[in-house]
Amino acid sequence: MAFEQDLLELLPRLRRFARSLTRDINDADDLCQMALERALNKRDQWQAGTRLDSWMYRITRNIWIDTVRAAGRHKHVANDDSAMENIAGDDHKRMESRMELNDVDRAMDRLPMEQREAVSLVLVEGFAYKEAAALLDIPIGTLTSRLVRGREALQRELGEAA
Amino acid sequence: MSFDEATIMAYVDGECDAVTVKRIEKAMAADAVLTKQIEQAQALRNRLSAHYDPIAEEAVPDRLTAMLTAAASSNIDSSFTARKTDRETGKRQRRGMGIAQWGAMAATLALGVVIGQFGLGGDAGAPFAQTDGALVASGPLADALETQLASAQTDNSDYRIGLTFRAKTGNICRSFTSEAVSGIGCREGQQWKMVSTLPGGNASDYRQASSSAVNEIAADLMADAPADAETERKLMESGWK
Repeated sequence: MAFEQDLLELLPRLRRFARSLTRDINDADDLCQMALERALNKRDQWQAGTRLDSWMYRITRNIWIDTVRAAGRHKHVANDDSAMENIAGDDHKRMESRMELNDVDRAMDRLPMEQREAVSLVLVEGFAYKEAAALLDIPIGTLTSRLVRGREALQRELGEAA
Repeated sequence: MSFDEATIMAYVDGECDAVTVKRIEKAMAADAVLTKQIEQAQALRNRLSAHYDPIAEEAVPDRLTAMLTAAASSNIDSSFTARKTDRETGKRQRRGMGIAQWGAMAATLALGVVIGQFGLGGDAGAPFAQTDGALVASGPLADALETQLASAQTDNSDYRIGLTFRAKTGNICRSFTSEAVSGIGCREGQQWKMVSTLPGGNASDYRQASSSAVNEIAADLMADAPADAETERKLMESGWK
């Protein structure tokens, strides 16, 4: 019970994280759903006393990577076309949400995946560098250089008014 | 002084140590380009927050909550302690325990230890003496604080000088480290009064921890930013006034 309750409390943040990775609200909720499924199946692997949020973010991020990579193997994906769209709802819905894309969505979407996840964890989700690096299994120097490059690209895309 | 992009970014993300924060803020006052860079980096953070934060305020779709309520009704989990621990660590997400607080606490405790270890006065080699109830530098430590420039240090001295800075009180203070003891001395009259002492340490990681604790305390004391090499030299020539 406690485990599910804690996941429930985490869900709003998880949706925000998924959204910053996938740009599309339907893709984001599909990603959350897959992450919840995996978490419930693997609940024994979560160590009590460690942070549940880091564990969930890691699961979510891994599924995202897997999904994008799998989609990439099946079909050539154009540069500005997120592969996550393949798991979204019907085409009409997708068109609709695409029209609502704003500059931030578009700029984030153009970032390479490894920069996007770094920007998302630190700038959107507020993780400390150390925590984000541990979550991504990368040295802190790698995280900060991805952050620098990701930020530069976003500033360029979003211009002065960033 | 110029800062690389990684440092500017760390400043905006709240990841800089206290001394670097002081240096950047001092530099900003005179450097419009730097100020602009920092404003832009902050604006980017704000823009991302403004865009994504409302999503965390939205109602979570039923299909997601239903998964959890269904799972909960088919499971009995009594890990109350686990939940509590997780929640508590979650609260500390951004900030760990302030090292300055820890350092100040350790400094108070260490003072007794340090005096006990070295004794007071008498011995010409002792680094501390007591004057009017205050702990002041003596012997080799007094020499180091008085004559050693951080920019021109050799391995001959037992003490390494760290930062030189003007404290909020107006006095010049200098931080030092050695194998046995680290701390900060502030110039009062002709003496260096100890405002902080911490155990040093032989192991390099311990010394590093001690030096960063001293830096945090220094950042707390300083009025402005640490002196650069030239200012340090001028201060020494003027008798640390």
